[in-house]
Amino acid sequence: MLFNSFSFIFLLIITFVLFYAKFLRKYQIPILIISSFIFYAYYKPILLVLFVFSILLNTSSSYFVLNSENQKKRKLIAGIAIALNLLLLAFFKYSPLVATSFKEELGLTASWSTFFLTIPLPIGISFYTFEGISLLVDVLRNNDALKEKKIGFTTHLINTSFFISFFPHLIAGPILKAHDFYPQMKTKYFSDIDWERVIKYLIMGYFLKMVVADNLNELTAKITFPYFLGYSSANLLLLLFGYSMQIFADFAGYSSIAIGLGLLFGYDLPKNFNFPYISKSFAEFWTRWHISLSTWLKEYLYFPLGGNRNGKIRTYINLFIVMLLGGFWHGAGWSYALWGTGHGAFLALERFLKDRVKMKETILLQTINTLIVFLVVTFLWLLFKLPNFSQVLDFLKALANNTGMKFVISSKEVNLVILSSFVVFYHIYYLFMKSNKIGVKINYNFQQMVYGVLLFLIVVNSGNQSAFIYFQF
Amino acid sequence: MAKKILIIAVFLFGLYNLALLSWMKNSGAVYTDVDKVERFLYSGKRYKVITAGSSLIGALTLDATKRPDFYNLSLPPSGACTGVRTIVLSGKIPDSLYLETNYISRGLNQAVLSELFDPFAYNIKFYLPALEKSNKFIPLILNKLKPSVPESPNKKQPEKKLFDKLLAINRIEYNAIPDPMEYHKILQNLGADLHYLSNKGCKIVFFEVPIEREFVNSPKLTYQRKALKKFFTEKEYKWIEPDTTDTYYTGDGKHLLRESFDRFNKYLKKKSSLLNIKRS
Repeated sequence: MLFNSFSFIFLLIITFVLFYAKFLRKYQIPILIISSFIFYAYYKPILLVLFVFSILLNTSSSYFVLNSENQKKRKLIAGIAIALNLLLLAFFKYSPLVATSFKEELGLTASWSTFFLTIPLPIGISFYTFEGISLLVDVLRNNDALKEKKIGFTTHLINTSFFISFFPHLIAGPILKAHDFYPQMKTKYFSDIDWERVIKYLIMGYFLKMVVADNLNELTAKITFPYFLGYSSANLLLLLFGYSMQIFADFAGYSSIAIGLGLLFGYDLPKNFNFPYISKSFAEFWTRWHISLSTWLKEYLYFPLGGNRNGKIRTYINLFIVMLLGGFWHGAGWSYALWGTGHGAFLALERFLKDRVKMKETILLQTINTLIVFLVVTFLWLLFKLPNFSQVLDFLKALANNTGMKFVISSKEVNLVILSSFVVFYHIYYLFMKSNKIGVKINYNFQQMVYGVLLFLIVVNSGNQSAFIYFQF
Repeated sequence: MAKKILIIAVFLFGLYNLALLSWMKNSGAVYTDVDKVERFLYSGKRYKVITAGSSLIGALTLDATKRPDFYNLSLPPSGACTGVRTIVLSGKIPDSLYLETNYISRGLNQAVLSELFDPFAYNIKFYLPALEKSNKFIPLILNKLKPSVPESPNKKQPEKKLFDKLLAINRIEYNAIPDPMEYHKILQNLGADLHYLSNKGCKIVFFEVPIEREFVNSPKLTYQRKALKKFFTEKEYKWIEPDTTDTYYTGDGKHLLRESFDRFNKYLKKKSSLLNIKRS
């Protein structure tokens, strides 16, 4: 189901009423689980098979690890369960890539090749697999937040089902960590809803998605091979800039809606975006973009690899490995690996330079750094937009060669600039807020007006409904 | 805070509707198929001559450009079938319908149709025009400030490298024959719609837009022509035969260049005048 569909609004209203009904208070978590299952399986009920299997795998193994005193066995079970999680992810997500890339090496017959190429990708699998692994690692590490040893298997099953399936984060995150979410599982009351935060998150989320991202989706459709070859360099740059704004608005919009919906049911989901395009370094960018993924990778991959504790060379390698795998997490394609490699390489290079070159942090330098980071990040998005690398090269060639062509400015280009400027203002407003340039009272009144206008624009300027870009991951 | 936000939004929404009902009527920009169909549905006009087809007829005027009772339902990604179904569902039946045959194979675009004809949304837009996609706020304001010129065909071919790549993509398309079962189903659906329109007194005229010479007798077009002629016989429907006497040039293998398009427009106009269709 899409957050911007009528069927979802209907499901949400029914769930909300039942969830806060006094006589159903005991069943709040089961109500949300049922609702989440409907949300997930609405278009393809068959998806539930793998999803339920994943929940059962993680529930039973984490229950064993939680209750066993034998360290060796705990490690073994957790290890097997993590490996199974990764195997499932690898099978469903990467089989087509492996089958195409290594067809001859693996000696695949035509029928096997077709079989691997037609394996469907279950929606949200990358997200719920990582959440399952988070649960297993947390129970293995004896995380205090998860010490619920007295509970029976049924309660643990219900809690785990809820943790993995809670619909706001199920399909495209934020990726939850077990130790953050489990302590929040208790009875919720209607009177405790923080309406102001709920409304702000929902309006901002729907605005970014429906007004900015969905409209930009139509306007940046020209970045399609071979049609982009016919545009001037300036038009191509503008389109790429629009796509960079679109991908932010799409994903940050989704996350904002997810957080707002979580709050509606009394659950605080982690922040996923923190104005990433003002980052002055690549390291900072990854503390602001898809935060729940980067912290997951840091906690469950970078630190276990040794982090920065084993010397400089090892640190560079670790950064590189984490980003490469992060790239692969996004999609089964060499473009995604290249995208991750690109980010890994810039992170390592930045770290290398930081260790050697000391410069005074002036505003000019900060601005230049912000621009460099933004440009590199934006150009790397091309690997998301164009399905194969040769097309990316063609785009870059066209960018270099089409300088003599006329810069076409029609109402579509102006519209693209206006829609993109919402994202720019969103970041600038944050910078003003951060530097205390806006008084609290003015800010409050200004915010009311702005949110009123945004709500108006959601109603009168939404683009055609399109799926969230991150659904494919 | 929630109350104030809601009041501001409702106030602006009311104001915008009032503007659209009075001095901003039909001022929106048309970007997509949905926009184009909404313009047709909510204009408050009845059209006597309608053309339905794909992007190939985007600039088609016949002889009716200056007539307010002409509407070109050229729906680039959706094609002719969606245009015809739109006419049927809207009840805005013209005296004559000119149907482009090139992309009948696209069938019905259900996503577009269900968005447009959702019973609740369809009716409410008559009273609240701000909900129409074709009245999107930002494009409308831009259009008001600088009215956009209707897109016309390109004057010349793109540089050879791009033209060859576009031609190669279209070569794949035109060398493939449509799935016969699927195509038959599409023709059956279209047949039902056209039969309904004919019964209501609408004259149907089929025509094919010329494309790059290389593709004129391609497997796809040859198959389509044969199947269409068999299904929609000349006894029941009027046909304007493709112009085989002239050479037409395209920018990508299928979209005519401006000079060629103008020639085709004239050809179509001349041929349609010979069909003896009564125009009230």
